[in-house]
Amino acid sequence: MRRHAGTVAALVGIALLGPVAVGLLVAPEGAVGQDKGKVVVQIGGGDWADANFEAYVAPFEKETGIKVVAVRDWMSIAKLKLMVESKKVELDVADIPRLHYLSAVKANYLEKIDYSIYKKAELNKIDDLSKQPYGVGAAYFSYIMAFDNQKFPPGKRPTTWAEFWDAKKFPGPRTLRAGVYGTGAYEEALLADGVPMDKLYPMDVDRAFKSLDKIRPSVTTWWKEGAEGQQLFADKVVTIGDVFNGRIGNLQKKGMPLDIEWNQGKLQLDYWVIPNGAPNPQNAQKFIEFATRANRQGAFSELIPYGPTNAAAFEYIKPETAKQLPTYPANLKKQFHRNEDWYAEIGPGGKSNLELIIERWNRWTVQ
Amino acid sequence: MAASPRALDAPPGRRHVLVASASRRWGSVGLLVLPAVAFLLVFYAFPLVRLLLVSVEAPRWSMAHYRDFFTEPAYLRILTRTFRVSLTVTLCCLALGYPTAYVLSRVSGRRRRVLLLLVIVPYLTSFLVRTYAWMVLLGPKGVINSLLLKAGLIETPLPLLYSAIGVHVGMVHVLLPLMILPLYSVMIGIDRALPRAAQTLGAGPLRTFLRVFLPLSLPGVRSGSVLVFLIALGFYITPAMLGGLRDSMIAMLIESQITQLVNWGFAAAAAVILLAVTLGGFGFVGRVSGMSLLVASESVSQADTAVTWDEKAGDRRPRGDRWRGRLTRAAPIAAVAHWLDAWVSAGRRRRFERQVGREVRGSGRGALVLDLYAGAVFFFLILPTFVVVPLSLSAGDFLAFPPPGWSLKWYASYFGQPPWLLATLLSLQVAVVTMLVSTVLGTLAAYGILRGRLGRRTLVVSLIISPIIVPPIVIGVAVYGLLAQWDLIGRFLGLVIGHTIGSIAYVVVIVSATLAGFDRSLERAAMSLGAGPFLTFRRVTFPLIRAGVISGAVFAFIHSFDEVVITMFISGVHVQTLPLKMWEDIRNQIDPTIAAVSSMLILLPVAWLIILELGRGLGRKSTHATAADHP
Repeated sequence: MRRHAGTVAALVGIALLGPVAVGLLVAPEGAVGQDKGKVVVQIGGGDWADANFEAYVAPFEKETGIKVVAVRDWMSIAKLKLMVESKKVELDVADIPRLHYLSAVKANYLEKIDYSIYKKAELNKIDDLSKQPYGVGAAYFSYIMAFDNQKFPPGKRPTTWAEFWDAKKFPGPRTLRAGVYGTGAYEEALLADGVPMDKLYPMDVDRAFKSLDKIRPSVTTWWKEGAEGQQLFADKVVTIGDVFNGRIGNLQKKGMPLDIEWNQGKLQLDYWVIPNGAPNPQNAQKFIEFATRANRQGAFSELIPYGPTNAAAFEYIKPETAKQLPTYPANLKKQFHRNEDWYAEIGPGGKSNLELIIERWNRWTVQ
Repeated sequence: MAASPRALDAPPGRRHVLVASASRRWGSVGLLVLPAVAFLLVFYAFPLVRLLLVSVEAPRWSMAHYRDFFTEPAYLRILTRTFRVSLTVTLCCLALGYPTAYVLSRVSGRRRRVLLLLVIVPYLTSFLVRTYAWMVLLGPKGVINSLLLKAGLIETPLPLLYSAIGVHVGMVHVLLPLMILPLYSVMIGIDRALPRAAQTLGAGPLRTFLRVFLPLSLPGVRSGSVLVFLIALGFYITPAMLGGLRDSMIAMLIESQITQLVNWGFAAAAAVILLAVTLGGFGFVGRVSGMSLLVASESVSQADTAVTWDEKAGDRRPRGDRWRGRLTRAAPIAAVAHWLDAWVSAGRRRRFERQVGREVRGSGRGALVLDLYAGAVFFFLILPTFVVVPLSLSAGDFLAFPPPGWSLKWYASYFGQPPWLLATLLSLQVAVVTMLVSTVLGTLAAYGILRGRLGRRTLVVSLIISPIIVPPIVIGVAVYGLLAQWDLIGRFLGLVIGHTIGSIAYVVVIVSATLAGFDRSLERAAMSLGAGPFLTFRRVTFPLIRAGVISGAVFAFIHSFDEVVITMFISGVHVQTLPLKMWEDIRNQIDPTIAAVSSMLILLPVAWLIILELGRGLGRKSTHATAADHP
């Protein structure tokens, strides 16, 4: 037995490691960059990451030969702060919502965007809000109300947040966005409480939390990241809730019986940014320029129904897809823009409204 | 003939000199703990001290963060909830574990090996996998709800997931083996004759249990409860995955303060508070029953004059064996080592079991109820396995129970995605290196503690063992600062360092258990023949404890392979180990590839046990070593 023990152990070891090694050899790899260097890009998670990968990462590698390390993770101002302050910046390109962008600019966490490498024709078509000194608009996302249309057939579903808040009239397990990044369902709560859409800001935070108290018992769970929200609907853990329109759009493509209500939807804009001190800043600039081209954004919107920031992208988008985008005129007029400037305002204590609302959320969750 | 005179033959004066010189050489053996101690001081103790300094905003020296913590009702609520949940979980584990351990200790031979497998395999399985399995079981479209709905027992799905129930069930499931094993190891040492003697004196079964068996089993109750309670305090992953908003525990507060607000000062203060509670609890109980609680150490016990339960009950074995037996039994993780040891040295075991096989568990209704109860607990322990494996073979696109069809596509999906394979490869590499480093450091340290003359032994042992109890989130936060400064975040070396901290502790506990049960006279014989400590170790001790060292190495590997919380902090942005990728995917992905990965991870401890079984040939020589500690 002892004679063979070594051999057997080796065989078992190979048996365990073998498939792994074989898999690595056989599985397809992205185009390996020559000596063009690399760029580390954060692309989010789930379907959104897949869309980013197919529309931007893979074509960019092919065209330029620069190796892209795609990080499937979420970015927030806290992570930016952590990286920049501990001088351990490993990311070249990140995608953050405008909400965090404004605070990041104030705190000097970002590098300036080099617009000189952009084609004039493309640059003219990018809307003004997306052309910021430290970030370029990536896509327009909307928080909308989503339903399982078997449990909530048309006519028997809420069309406003006030109706959503009525758990007796419209019972069903719900989800809402958690406020861990400051992007909670506060505006929705205020709308449910009767505040008109054009009077949401400056936000009455106390009123928002009181309103959240009312809906709290009906909320099964609070999703933190978009893919999580998508998963809740996919697993049928919830039948109604607020979630990003693109996540639901992709589930609809897979055949799930879900519907979207655009009324009182909340529009937000995400930016591509370069953290201060990124290791490959030139490649980062090139990547962002690539990602804002019309044909690229068109491809992206076909993969996940988020609105492009380059108006010329609509030439590359099919009409049926265009109807699902948040920036489609019929959808756009029902929604409101989140006012990120209010969130970025610094209060008397030296903290921004964003930070205060995150802290308030953390305290509220344990009550 | 002239060679080295045997010490015992020499005239008295000469003998004294020989022994003295040999023992001076042996005295330096204590230095063997130095590598492990140095490593832990630099990478573990020092970062924890730094954490303390950060929490008081040194050099400004302000208690503001602590003041904030204790004056904010929300945070106090989290603290009390953490205590409450840990206490409830401990009591549940005790209620479930005590009868199960009793049945385990009274069943004979082959059945016991199988049943112990049912306890140990879940223990060695990644707790991320086990928690995920509970998500699958408890969800609204999960197994339990689907079955209840189909049976018509309920109208709408029960809210089991994202609730306190989910958290408690998940935590009990993960911690139950840690309660059963210490209980088992103590119960198995209780002299069978004692309850019988009580019965011959006229005591009924209940009285026998309450007056004889229960007091004798209390050391096990104590070790198990302390271990479960203290580890439950620092839990992060399970409540995060299975709990609702209200079920936050303090580890989650620490994490959110860092990842959402980058409020290092406050996070450090909360971490220090958690650390103080954990170490305080450990120290308090440690003082009550001596260091025998976690580590088998002969010298400590010789100086230990505290009264123990065994002495009170009048253990009738010779004094020399008595303390050795008691100590090795009381080591909870060492209990697993014992089992693994016995597994590896079959001949010894067979003889032992023939003895134990004569033990009668008792018959009648009482025994039947006990058996059913224990059976239910075993079922509970392996239930997740039964759930995850069939789900991984599902042909559907989402997790659904029952699966719509059978297909291997999720396994194909795993092998076809480079990120999964790279993560697995990295985890394997880190685990192998961690295993080697911690086995070497740990074995040396164990030998140094038990065989060497060591001042401050208790302090050294506490330093080495504490990473088992200290919450990984505290270690992760502390180590992050140091590794960031030395630019080791996201580096292979950084990962190995982070994992080795905990692995050394496991190796030391297991190897010292084996060493303590080792017949010292063999070493003394070698010493009397003139062998120095290193020669003795190489030719006498090591071959006999090889099985224990291998067990320790296995534990070190598994600990590193499954490590997720510390790794979360020190892995940087784009370095992913397998558990990290699983953690991310559980939150983000909606397809069952994760079920396929989980099934394969469940098979990992089984594979290891097979390897150990094959290595049984190596352990055949250790028959004599393990003879002494079995009662």
